[in-house]
Amino acid sequence: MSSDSVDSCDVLVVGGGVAGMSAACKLAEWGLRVQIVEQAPTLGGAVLRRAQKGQNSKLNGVHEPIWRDLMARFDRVRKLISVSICTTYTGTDSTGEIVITNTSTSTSVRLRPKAIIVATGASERVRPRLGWHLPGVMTAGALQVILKTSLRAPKKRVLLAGSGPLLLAVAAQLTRLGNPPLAVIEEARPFRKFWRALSLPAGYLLEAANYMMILKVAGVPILQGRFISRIEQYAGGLRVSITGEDQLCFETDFLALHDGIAKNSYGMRPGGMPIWYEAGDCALGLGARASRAHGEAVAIEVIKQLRVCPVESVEMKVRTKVLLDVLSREMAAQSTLAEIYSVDEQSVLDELPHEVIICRCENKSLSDLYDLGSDPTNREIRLNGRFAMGACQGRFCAHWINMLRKKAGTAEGDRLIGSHWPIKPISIQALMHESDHASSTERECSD
Amino acid sequence: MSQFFWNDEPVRFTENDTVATALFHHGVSNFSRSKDGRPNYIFCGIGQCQSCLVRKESGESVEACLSSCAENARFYSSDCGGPVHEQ
Repeated sequence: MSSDSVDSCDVLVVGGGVAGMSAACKLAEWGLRVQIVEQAPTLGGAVLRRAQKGQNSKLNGVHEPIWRDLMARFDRVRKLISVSICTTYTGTDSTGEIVITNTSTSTSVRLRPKAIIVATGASERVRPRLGWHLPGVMTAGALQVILKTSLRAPKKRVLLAGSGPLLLAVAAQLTRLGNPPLAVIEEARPFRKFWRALSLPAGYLLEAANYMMILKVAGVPILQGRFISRIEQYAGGLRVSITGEDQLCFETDFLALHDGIAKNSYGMRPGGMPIWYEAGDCALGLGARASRAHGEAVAIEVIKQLRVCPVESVEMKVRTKVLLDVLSREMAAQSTLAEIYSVDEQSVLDELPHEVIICRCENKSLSDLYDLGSDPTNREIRLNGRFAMGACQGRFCAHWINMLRKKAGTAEGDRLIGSHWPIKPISIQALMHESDHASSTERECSD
Repeated sequence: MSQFFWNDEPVRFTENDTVATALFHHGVSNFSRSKDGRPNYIFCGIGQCQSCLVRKESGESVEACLSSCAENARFYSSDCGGPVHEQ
């Protein structure tokens, strides 16, 4: 860590993934002092998670050039950028003072930046299924992070299920690491929309073709239009029953689920901050290419608002135009993908058996939800039902509860989850143990 | 290869492994105990679900997926208010 304390930064960037790094580089290129806080031990975020030092992050594939470009820029301005790893944004109080917490050393630091850019990345959507709470069931994203950081595949059986292109990516990555999955169970029928897919940008098609080729060579079956009906513990592993045109059954050790990604601005609110922006997947959910452009575009807005340059330069106007073009192209591509991978989730939810666990933290089932009456209020769902009240604070159940309520014609909006801080649990010790200087945090330069 | 301790048992890790990654490869399936007593496991992998909470030697709970391994560090499975506590 450099000798200056973190409270001397101009801009706080929350999240050291693609959007956060892109924003930080732009800000520093205009002479602003930036503090990045990253909750994980390495930079890169979920998309470009760094592998072990000295090892090529070969699994990042088509996205790796984005990282090389960002790191080259970062190297040129790193004097102005301070990076704290294992550090979370804890919250903002009404005066605009911010608390960040190093979870490794259990110390909190207060700071008062002129602006804050939140780039915390997307959430992964995982729809409740019968048995999805059992050990061995995880998100496809979680499995991917493990593969990317350790560059090792588990030596056990893996099944991938749900919907979306990430399933193919993780399947191909498992195969490259020497353990092809048993199968990919896809709820949608993307191959039937082959002609629609041809309108995707070339980069997307190349990426998909590469994954498909790896899976084809390894003989990994991709079963479309099939849904998980039950996950059970069986003989030390899991038994996964599949419905669709036919009834299938897989015995596996790990089941990785994925139902797309969602924006994620849980608990994020401007508070007393004068300048507050969200950048990248937490605001857009459009992927790495869009996140890099959006991070830079948001940084330009902050630069303008902080009046770093007296008048908006022509160069900046041109650059903004280029970035907005990238964003609209990515938006179009993602909506094509959504069309290709469309699943009628409402009818799947409506047919869920009542014993399905909806709230994983508090272990509350669908029948517990229906026991609250035909049209419970948010307050009743939370305080009487204990839904969205566990350690994850509704991040993995609130969306589905709202969809399940719509069936009963509920009128009371989607405000089942609040935006209180700390935005996620931290130890009392970490909150109380405050240090003025971030001497305990480390500077992370990555590979 | 370095090692840390999980419930006093040595677990090997490589640089940049998180505690969750190392425990995953070690075959650990009980990170903590859930409300109904079943074991909790890695779920989201990106610090949002709190499913992989483990206990540090100092007593605090931390997300295994966000914690780096340190040589000879000690981590323990945590009971998140499961039946063991309720007795």
